[in-house]
Amino acid sequence: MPLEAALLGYAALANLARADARIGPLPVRAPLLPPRIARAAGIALALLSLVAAFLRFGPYQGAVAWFGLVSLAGIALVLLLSRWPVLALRLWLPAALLALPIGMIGA
Amino acid sequence: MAWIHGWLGLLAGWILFAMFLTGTASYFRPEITRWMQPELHLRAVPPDMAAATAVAWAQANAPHDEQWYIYLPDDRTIATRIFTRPRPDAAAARTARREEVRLDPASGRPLAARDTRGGEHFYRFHFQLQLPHPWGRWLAGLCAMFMLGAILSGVVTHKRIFVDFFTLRWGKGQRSWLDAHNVSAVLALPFHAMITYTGLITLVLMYMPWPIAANYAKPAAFAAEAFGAEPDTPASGRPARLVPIAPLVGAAMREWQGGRPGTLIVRNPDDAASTVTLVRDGNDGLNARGGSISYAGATGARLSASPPPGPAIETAGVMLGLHMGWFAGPVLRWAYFLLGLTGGAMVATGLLLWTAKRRRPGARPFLGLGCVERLNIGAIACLPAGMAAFFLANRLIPAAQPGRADMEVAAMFWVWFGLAALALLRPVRRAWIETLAVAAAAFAAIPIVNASTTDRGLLRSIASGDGLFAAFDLAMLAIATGLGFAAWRISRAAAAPRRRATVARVPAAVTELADAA
Repeated sequence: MPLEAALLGYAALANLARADARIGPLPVRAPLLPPRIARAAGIALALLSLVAAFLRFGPYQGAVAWFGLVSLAGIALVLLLSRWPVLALRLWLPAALLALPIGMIGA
Repeated sequence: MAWIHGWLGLLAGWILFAMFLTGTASYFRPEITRWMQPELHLRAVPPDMAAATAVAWAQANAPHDEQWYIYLPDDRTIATRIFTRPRPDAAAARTARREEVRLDPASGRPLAARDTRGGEHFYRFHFQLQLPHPWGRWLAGLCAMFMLGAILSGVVTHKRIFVDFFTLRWGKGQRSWLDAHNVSAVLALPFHAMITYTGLITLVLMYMPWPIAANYAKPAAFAAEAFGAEPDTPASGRPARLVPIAPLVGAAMREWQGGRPGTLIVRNPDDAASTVTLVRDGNDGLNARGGSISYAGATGARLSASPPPGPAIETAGVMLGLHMGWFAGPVLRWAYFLLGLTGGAMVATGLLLWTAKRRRPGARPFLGLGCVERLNIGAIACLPAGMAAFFLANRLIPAAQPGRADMEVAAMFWVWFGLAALALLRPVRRAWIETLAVAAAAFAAIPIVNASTTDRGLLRSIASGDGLFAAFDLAMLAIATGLGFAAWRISRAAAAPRRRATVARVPAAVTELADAA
């Protein structure tokens, strides 16, 4: 199932949320990154999910797919954050790792 | 700006919620139609085969008609639809087309299945609102304009758009509704803006007809210039047979580099001057308006093709495609569906926020607040119950019952408005709980009724690998769970203030207001 863009989008947004001071003090424990690094990782993962969307859905549908799938990933993240914030943020690593084989299967 | 945002959203909110919900369901229009005709077990066939069987049926049943319109199936619609138009009667001003016939694309045999509007009902309701033409489209357009205004004013109003990007707090009354409204609006903002704007553009020629009226003698002249004129050669009076259709379909697909034909129009099929026009379907690209190629029916010679669209027509086609989502494969279609539900949630939470802001602890609601609360229940809780009744009616009304398609539609509106009327008799909180519970029960009943009235129940569908029927039943159960969860949450929230008041003698509403302050 071509969901690597959504998974990378989740990982990106989770890291950006991690870097957000409003989320509150959280332990710097793997896989959570320090806030400053998390922000950079979030931006890098967002770009990666954009590339993944274009590779998977082609030049015409890529942008549409990216906006849609990242939006849905964001909604899933916010719903998880509202109940289990640490788990929601930690899931960024499994999501990013899962995106790799899914992307390779589709390539 | 906040005032504009609130009132634009409120005045159009109930209709917008219905438009969002039915429009979202329409992303699975062919699948809904197939679920609503469980007698049909069809398999997808290549377009040249479907075209050949449809033409064979038309040659056998309407050989001398003036025109045949054949809608070829794809992987989702599966059945071929065909209607023919007889030659004009000199006495009649205009000849009515014959009844539409649906064919098995593999055999060309007419299909016998229960009469239903299927997914087409939700699709039509989404922009016609079950009102006579053109009033429904006008009202839908007006509400879409309100929506666009509400989106723009909402972005301006929402000062903490980035600060609150990930914020959703539960159990804090008005603040929670605000969070939920912000999250559902901001996270899916590209979708909401796109779907609203492209929805308006889809019917822009109706809402703004003046440029065409000022520049063209007839709208048809504009259409011919914009999309290309189709051949309109009069019949020669010399009889001739059509060439085999499959090679023409193959030639068109090669010219479109694999693009599929969606519609086949044959004019004067038994005449030497017959023409065959193949119109490309809009499923293989963002532009939903495909081009067309015309062939001489008697010789198979290529006559003409529609000109490449100009930038404006291309843009309009892409906007239509973005709105309809025909290009979307399964993953993107589900993404459209879930984002549509998010849009519904955005409208619903906005409506609920309006009442939460104005409710005062211990005070009787003023008339306007009472009306809005009741209309909220009628739209947000009762419409889903009506939609479930539409599906249940499909299974419970006998398959051979005359007029059953209209009865299914009537069932939806009777349940929707009947439940909303009954809810008026109950206190607001109880009405929310009970209507949501009824809607949940109705959705939960769909797989049960399906299993007991057809041979395509959930377990059997899973066992036989019938993905569509299994997914439909599971989706119904998921929706039932969501509605049931909402009813349960409200019942808990209704019980909580009483508990808190007993224990701490602090009214919950005061706490909520303090939280929101």
